[in-house]
Amino acid sequence: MTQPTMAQPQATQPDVTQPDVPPPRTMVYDGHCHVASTDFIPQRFVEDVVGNVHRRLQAQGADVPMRRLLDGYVAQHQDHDADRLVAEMDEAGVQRAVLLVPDLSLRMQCPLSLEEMAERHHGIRLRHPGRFWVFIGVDPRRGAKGADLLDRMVDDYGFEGIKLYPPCGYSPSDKALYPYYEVCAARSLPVFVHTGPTASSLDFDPAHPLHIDRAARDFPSVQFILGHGGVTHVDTAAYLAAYRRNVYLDIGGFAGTSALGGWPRALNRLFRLGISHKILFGTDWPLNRMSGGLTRLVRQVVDGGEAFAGVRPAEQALILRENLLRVLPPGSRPVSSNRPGSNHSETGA
Amino acid sequence: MNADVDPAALEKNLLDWVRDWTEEGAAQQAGPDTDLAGTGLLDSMGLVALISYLEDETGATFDFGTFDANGGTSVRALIRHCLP
Repeated sequence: MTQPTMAQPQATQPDVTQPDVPPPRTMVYDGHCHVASTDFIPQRFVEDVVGNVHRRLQAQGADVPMRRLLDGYVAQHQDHDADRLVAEMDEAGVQRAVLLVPDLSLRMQCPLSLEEMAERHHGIRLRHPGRFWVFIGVDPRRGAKGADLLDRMVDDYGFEGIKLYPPCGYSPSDKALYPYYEVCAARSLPVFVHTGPTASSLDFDPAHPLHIDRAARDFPSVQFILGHGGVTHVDTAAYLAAYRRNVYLDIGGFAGTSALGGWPRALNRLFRLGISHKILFGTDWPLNRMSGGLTRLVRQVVDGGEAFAGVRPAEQALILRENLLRVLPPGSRPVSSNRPGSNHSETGA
Repeated sequence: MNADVDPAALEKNLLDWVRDWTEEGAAQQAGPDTDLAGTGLLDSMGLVALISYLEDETGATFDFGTFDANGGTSVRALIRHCLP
């Protein structure tokens, strides 16, 4: 979950004759999605995001009323059962996706408790069998009770990973998280860590990717994924992924980057750094939804030519699905993917 | 379509707005069916601003919740969605 950023600048003359193209036939797993529902987003978070949009537009001479922007944001977050997300996945050729459920409740007033959000996401999985993995949020300030709750939620619902949101005010290497990491180590659960900017009332300092280093060293059997690591702090996230065998990076939010030359070129640079075995494809849906939806994003990455230029098909497969399978608990992988080569324990950095 | 709205005039107004917003001449060849987001003419902020302008021009409310951007974000598609 991050806030929308500007799309790439129009540095070159756009091709206004772009035809519609069918979705890609390559199997794709989206490692970074959210249910687009106001039930799971604090009002304060929405106001922060919309306030940022309002200030940007105002500076550019478009004084769109704040109320109107808020209404538009809320209207885009009424997919409470993920029906629309599944329809988009079908159209885009995305077989499965990870639903991230950040726990912001110790920092912002949330519509639902963590337990209620967990139950709702379990229900969404039952409604759409075989389509989602769920990474549930934790906050170290919940203490031992929080670790017990995590254990219970994994027992009850079979969630496949945890989601950390350090901008809520803690480091991902905070020792208070270690009991949670013990749970992750015992159950082979990966840890997805938000990095980079977010809602303006939250803390940016703990969201630097380097904060993961201590925890990654202390828990070598736990797989850590740097959320947005391919989008913000890219150089740092990339060397962590290159040299820490249990650190991966996610590209969620890639379509909102303002990289010079556009996001396909920025992705291509990342994909050619020699760390294709550590990069996870993710969109951060419903981010950039108005700019074309899942189909366009997936198609531009898979079939667009530029993002994967010079990237071998085997590496493309790693990025689009295999790396995610390598970090997931073995029992949660689709049956067809449970083969020796997809076991993360057999790979190094 | 709302009977009080001249669709051709509305399309022209919106395309003029896009050309004014981009300011670099990139939108000169854009037409009512040009995919504004897919071609990079407008980013997400520009789209929000254009839709706000559309609402101002028509007095209608754009339903963000049901808009399907997979079909493209052209001036004509935005008008059709806002004024069915």
